[in-house]
Amino acid sequence: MARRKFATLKSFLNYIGVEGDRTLFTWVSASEGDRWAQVIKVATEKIKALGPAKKMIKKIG
Amino acid sequence: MENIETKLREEAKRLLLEKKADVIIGYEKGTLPLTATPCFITTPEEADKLVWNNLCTQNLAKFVHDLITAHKNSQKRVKPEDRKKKVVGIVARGCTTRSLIIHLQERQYERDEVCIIGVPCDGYVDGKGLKVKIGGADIVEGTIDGGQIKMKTSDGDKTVALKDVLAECCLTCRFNNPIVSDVLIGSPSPAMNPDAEYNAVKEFEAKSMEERWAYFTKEMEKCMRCNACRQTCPSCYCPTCFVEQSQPQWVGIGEDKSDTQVFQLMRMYHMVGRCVDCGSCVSVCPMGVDLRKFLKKIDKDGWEMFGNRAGSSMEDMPPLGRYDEHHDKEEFIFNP
Amino acid sequence: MEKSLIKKDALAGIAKKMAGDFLVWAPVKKEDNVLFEPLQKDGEPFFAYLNSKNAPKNVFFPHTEAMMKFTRTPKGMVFSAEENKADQSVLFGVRPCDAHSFALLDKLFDQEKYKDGYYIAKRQNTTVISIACVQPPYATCFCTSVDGEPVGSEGADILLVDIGSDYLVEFVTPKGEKLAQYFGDAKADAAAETKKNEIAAKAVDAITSKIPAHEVKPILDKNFDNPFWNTIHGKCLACGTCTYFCPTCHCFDISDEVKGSDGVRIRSWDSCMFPMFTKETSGHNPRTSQKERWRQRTMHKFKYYVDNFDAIACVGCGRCVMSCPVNIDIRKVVEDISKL
Repeated sequence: MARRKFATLKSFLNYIGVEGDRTLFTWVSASEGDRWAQVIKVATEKIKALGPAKKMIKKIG
Repeated sequence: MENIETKLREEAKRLLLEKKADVIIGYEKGTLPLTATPCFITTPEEADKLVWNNLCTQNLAKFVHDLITAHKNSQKRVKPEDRKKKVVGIVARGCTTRSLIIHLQERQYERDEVCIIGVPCDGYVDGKGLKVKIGGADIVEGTIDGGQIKMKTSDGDKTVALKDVLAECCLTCRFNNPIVSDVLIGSPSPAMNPDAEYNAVKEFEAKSMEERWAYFTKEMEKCMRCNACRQTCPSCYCPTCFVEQSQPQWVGIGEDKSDTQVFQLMRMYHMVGRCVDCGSCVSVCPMGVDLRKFLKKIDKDGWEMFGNRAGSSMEDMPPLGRYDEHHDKEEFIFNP
Repeated sequence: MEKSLIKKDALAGIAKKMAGDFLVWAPVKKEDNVLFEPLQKDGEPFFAYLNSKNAPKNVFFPHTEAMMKFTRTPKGMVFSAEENKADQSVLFGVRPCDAHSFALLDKLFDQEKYKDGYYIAKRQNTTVISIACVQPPYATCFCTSVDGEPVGSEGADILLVDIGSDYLVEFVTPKGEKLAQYFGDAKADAAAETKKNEIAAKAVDAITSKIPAHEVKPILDKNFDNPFWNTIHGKCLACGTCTYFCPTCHCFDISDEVKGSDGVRIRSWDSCMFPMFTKETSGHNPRTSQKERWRQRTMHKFKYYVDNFDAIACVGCGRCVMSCPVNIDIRKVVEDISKL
């Protein structure tokens, strides 16, 4: 069940110290154009506010 | 314990003689002082090797899966009508039976392929903790008697109370008696202290995000990627672990911090509804990584979100395999 | 060169003084483990240890190291070899068994047929100072069975022996002599030397765990297919604890890691205990089960290394014995082989 996986993943990431807002999960139907735009708009704002991810990022070179 | 050991040997002999099991997985005395180690008994005579005491550490369910899988693979080229069934006997305490239930629920083998010899448990000794308790001295000889561990060490004679060196998972164990069994030995052990099982998790949850992250990274830095935690875990039985996949390669092979973090994070996350808190991963970890701090959170979420305690009954199916539309919370859903 | 004497409590001070001038690897207490780590400015070396949890081989042969880097440019790939440059460093306070392991690793990484630049650069620029085992640290120590000595200097540049109130400082190699100034002016007299010899003989006798390591070679020569090999691996978890902690295990794996247009070729420790070990691109693995992998581990240590380099690839530190989560005891394995 995807929703249970997301609920636990979000909770677990938050527990180990990764910002909970980096895991976003929702449903959007193909017919919900307005909602889709709204979801992306707010998600982008949230992520921008958090800034670049620094945790668990691998540096190469 | 002596009495249980005697009965255990008798039962093991009987099961082998009556051909109710082809092999019995149990514990025997180790080559080092104060150790017991997994063993495989195939003849009645060998059954006298079996021991049952506070030094029996590993969750043996892992070997049931290994043996049955290997046997099934060996039967692949045999004509269906000639295929033989192998019955694996196992000496199982509470947590071991929980792992067996998970295997059965996940359809890894049939109930009649495993013969469960249930034993009551009052906890096992945390070997690394014991070493710390005696100041890192080398144990030369040791006995457990009347709740005391008496040792000859490189630093003189030492005595430690058994209850002070039991593994963390045992102290707050809720299921120290077998949940399912074919043969039950001895009378049930008294309960441990399950009310305190989430105390450490709650304490950790109360810390700040950065404190939690700092602790997680500190612990993961100890990890040297020996894979002992994964290898000993009865729930880690994927034929190819994501760590070993190369196309795509999810995790690098080296000691890069992020790779270790991702390995551990993903392995632990795969334990949702599947970790029975047997403590095997913690006990085998050569570097003493505090895995339980994180795995217990997964257990807590399983209970608080879905009312499930992994492997606690045959009827309670794995939480990620179902959904309860009336009770599942929706607060994690992003709804702008 | 003449031997020196230093006061026992001067040891940490010497290590710290050296740390001001070089990179010093010393035993450091980290939570419950004693590990060899670079000594930090305000760090305190931990010399009251039995032996370190991990073998110090990572000083010369790191768990992961870059071999070369590459960048994709409009003009094609540009490769840059990692320079085999190593800082002047000191490995302070290894046990004689671990120092012995360096002599064994040299046979492989620094031989006529093949010279491993990565290893050699670090080895050449590092002075190894070992502290003799006056008392065997663990009951599982068996160095005397595998050509080691508790008060031996094989593989070390300087050997320190606890002779009561002082350490006798022996400068074994010219590389060791270069650091003589750190050990003061007190010269050792004949009495100190006699004392050391007495202690060395006693230390050998104190090692009671013995294995027939030399006797098994001709047996292994003839018993590749012996059913005995079915008896060891049953409980083996296939984790890498024994090989990662082993001072002489040296198998490695090479992989490329790429991000964007930059990449790096790294080599990392591999372990013959891993199911992926020697798995070929085709998916075939000549060592199909843990049985073959255990045979490989035993053969490599007690037969192949002897064939190739005339030395047993085991120093008797007992780390694999103590750390194996399921108590597979190499001493018992060797013992059992000797009875075949």
